Amino acid sequence: MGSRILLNLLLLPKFRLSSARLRTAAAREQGFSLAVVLIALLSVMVAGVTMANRTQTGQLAATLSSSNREAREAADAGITHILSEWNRKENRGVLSELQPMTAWQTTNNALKNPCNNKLTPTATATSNLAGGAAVAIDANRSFRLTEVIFRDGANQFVAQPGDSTKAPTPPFTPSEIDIVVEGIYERGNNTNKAQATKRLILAQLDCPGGGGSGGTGDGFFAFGGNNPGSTLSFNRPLIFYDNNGKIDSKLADNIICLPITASTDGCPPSTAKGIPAGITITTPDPPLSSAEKAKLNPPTFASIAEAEGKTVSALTIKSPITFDGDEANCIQSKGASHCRISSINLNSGNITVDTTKNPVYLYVDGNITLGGKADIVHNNNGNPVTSDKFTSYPDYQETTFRFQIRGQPVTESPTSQTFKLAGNPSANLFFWAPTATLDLRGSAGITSALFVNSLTTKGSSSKITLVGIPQSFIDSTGFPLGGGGAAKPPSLVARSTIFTKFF
Amino acid sequence: MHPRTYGEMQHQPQMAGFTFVELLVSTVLIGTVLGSLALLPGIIGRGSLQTERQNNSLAGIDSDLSTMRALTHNFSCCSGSCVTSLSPTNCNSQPPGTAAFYQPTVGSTAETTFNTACANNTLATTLRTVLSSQALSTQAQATGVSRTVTVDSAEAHRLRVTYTAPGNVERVAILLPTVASFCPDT
Repeated sequence: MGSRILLNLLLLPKFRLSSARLRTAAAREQGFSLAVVLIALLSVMVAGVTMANRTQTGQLAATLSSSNREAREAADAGITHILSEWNRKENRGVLSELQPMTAWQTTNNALKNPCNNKLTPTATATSNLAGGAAVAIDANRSFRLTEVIFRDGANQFVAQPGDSTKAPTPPFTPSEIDIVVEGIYERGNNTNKAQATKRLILAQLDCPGGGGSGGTGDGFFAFGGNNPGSTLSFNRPLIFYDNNGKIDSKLADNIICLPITASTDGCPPSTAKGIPAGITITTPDPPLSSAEKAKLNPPTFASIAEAEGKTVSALTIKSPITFDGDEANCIQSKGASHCRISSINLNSGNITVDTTKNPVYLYVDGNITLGGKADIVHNNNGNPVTSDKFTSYPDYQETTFRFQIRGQPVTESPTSQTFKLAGNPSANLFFWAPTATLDLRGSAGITSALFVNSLTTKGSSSKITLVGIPQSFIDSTGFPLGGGGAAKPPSLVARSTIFTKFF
Repeated sequence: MHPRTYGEMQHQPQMAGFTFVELLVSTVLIGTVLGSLALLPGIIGRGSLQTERQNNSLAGIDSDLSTMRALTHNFSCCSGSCVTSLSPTNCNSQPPGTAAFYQPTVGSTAETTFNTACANNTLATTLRTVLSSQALSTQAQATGVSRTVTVDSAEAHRLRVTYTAPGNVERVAILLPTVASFCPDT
């Protein structure tokens, strides 16, 4: 019936249907047709508005999605901002000291750069991060640091900007760190927030560069905490690595290159562990105790050379000499040959150490000076142990450590040594000399694990390839690198790393 | 019974289909609705187009931002002068991502130059010049995106990249060159 009425509506009165039935219906339904028309039109309008609304909703959703993304990007920008602030030379002490985050201020001397205590933290560190205050990126975007979480296995310590807690109880050395940042995006009356977390693997670094020739250190990655084993119960990490990739010879983005300084108690390495994650390292026990070593009368290099039938002049050896562990000045103990010598001064020729029979530990009381034409050669099974065999030599690291040059402990005299390698030493060996300055010049390129007081490179092509300490050297008893107590500490410790080939 | 005349029918208002007012109202309503419906495709089309443009702008920004990030990551000072490229050649025989790629050899003249750049806080300025001269990505150009690179903090060697595009699209990214981590403490 309705359809008929609609049809009728469209016809001129002259041509309207005139059947009696229709007239009767029209009489009954007078005015109903208008209502029907209105309903129909309303339906059409609703449908149209719905379509338009859906389109607008889609656009609104896209806008909101964009706003959420802006908030996330603000958080990401905040992380980058924070990392860059921490990495400023003035701020490199911010996380390496036992200070609550609220103490990040310019007047706190404890926050000074451990490698350059003349640099004070900048005001930026305080205004940007302290107290969890929001830091503006622009008129619409901001971020705030909400948490820094230090981790080591099951251990976890959450540090918040407004938290005055300094250290976890019991203490632990963190191997990873989470930076949690909240990003905020505001536009009009809408506020979008998002949180971003970046996990960084911790490693530690000695003071980098130093500027110009003879700069101390050179970005050698090292184990050991800032103040392990000291009265400070919790040493915060010094370097931050983005863990996007496995730590190996490659650097990831966002590395924070913070310096390491030795502690006043000599960095007992028994507590320097867990950095990077999964690695536990203690220094090897010296194969001979001080008392045992004292029984060895240290011959001069000259006397050794004479015993070998070589020509010497004073303490300068002008021709090669070979150690094979059975010399008179050596004893056999603990499965190794232990040889003691007063000093080494070699202008030309090689010092060849053959570790085929036994590992050879060469104890040096004084200095080592190798001239431009002198070299250290480490032979094993008839082959030189050099870095080029790393990939093809399954026991490469174990073999490397069969030859060790050991300096004086800090508890003994002399309290300083100089190992100057000016020639082309390319051997693999292990240096343990906590009081010594290792001075590399020329094209020296040794492959080694280092425990030295300081490291200086002056040659344009001198380099060190650091290798890790094999499992066999991990000793639960540990050995106090600096001798413990109030003994003179090393000012800089370059410790062995897990990096197989850093350069 | 004779059939009624047209005049007789006119005198029976209850039998008429619709009044003039009904007809007038219906016509106005139909006109209004049809007029509105005629506008809908335009409204819907504009909305969809705006959403599409917004998404395209964001995608264009993404593409250009990835270029900015790559150039920032590849920014190297190992030769003394700080340069970057999307297809960098090795430096010190090492590729990007290794320390030797970024850091000059210790004791070299290049190291002195690099250290000076760090101390004078010019790393960010140098990189900003390079990034600013980089042409926008094709996708970004096609969507009307514009980019501004500024030094966010010279001391922290930090850059800020701001993108704007039609439709109130605006994005900000903070970039930090990897090489900045190798600046010395002195």
